[in-house]
Amino acid sequence: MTGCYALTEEGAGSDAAALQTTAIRSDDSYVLNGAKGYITNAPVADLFTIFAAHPDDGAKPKISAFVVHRGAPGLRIGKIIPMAGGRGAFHSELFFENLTIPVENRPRQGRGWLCYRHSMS
Amino acid sequence: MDFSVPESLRSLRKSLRQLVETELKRHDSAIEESGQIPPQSLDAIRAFGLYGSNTPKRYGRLGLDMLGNCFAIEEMARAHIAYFYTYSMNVHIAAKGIELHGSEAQCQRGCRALRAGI
Repeated sequence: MTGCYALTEEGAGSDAAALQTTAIRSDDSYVLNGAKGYITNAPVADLFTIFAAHPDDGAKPKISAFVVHRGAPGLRIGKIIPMAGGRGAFHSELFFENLTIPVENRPRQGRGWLCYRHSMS
Repeated sequence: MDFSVPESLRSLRKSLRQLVETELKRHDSAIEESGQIPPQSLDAIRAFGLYGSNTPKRYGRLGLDMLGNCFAIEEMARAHIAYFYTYSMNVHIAAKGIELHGSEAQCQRGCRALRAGI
């Protein structure tokens, strides 16, 4: 199984505090909308760890990570982005169009910061 | 402060270098031409156990510390940067967050397969 880590966005870079992708709670699911860019392994990944903000959390929305499997409705893989020095690996855009994720696919709500920091360190 | 490399890691680095020299480097041209890592290279990385390089030994993986993982990345990147991207994204980023902050069920569904690379 191949995994990828979907954090980077066009307007935010890898600044997790500036994410524009949103996760809205709807009954027992979260609905994600937004886009990512330069996501390594995305074109070949089986499993995606996706970061999104909870805009209904107030002025400083928390972020969460969500675990999504390839083929989930609403998960669209965009064009491959050629990168200098990145030959042999795949990087692409990702789009979330009402991507509905069961609550059980979300590691602890609002702990996205820790998930992000611990993954990166 | 002692900055010497422990014997266990020196031995690991030697084995890694052998893997790189015998199984990975010879595919450099193929990667450049096709844009993809040949499956046999990924098989060799799996067989070495590198997909679980930072997973604890109690789970049957290598259980390398930070220095050991740095050696793994450094040696593989000597062959081709594509190995680093594919391996490191799986082991150090995609799986780590789930392992540390996911539930047991989430780890069962995704983390173990990522660690095994299968």
